[in-house]
Amino acid sequence: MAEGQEDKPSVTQLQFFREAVKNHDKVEACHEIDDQIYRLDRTGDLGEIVVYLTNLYTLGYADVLEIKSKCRRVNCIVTMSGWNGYTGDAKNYATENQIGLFKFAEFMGALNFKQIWKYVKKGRETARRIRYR
Amino acid sequence: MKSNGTRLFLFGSATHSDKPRDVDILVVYEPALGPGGALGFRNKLIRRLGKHIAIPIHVVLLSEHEEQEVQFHQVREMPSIDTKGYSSTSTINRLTKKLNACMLVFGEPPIRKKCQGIDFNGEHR
Repeated sequence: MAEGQEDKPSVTQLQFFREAVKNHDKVEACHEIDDQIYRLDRTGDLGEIVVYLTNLYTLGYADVLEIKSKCRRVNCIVTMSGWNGYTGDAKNYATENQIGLFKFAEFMGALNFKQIWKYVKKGRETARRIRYR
Repeated sequence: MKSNGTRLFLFGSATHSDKPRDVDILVVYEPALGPGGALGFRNKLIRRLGKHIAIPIHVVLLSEHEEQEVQFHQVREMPSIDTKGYSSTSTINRLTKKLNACMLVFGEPPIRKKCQGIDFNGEHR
């Protein structure tokens, strides 16, 4: 991210992420590439996912653009805190570029799908409206 | 849609605490700046503020369209200077102190021009 921009999840959040994905039925292995990037090997033909973890309060279109340009291997972006969110423009741009953009709870569901960027949690739109209003 | 110009809002603990954990800033950028220009602006903002502020700086970057979608600043009543328990003078002083640091960012004419619409009071011009 931007120089000096603090978007790293906390140590606790990172531990939580590692534990959660290791216990997911569809994840065979979790490899830490750096503080914020993990490669997940999934079962069968689901394929691998390279996940960028962030703790930005609200992920916008420009953020996805920046992450995509700096981490070309990333095909999934997850914002960790339950308070965090993302905009519709960010989601649309990510989807168009075959990048999954999720809150953590959504991500756990998306892991079951081969084309992870297409996953939309049921009630997602409603949930977002409720959260922001 | 008429642009309000690029606008900055403070939110979070920096607006109501004498010992904030971090500085949270929302930047709503105008279409003319575009996401690339907005990212450059954020880098500059963080770099310049980082020289004066020792705590983490978080900058949420949204286009006007995105801000309308999530209604970020309306929900949080930005700059959400909490007046409860504070005199108006104290409130303004705290805001001014923070914004004086912010104003250091706008030293270069191109940025200054792009940011003419900045409204630190969170009110549309």
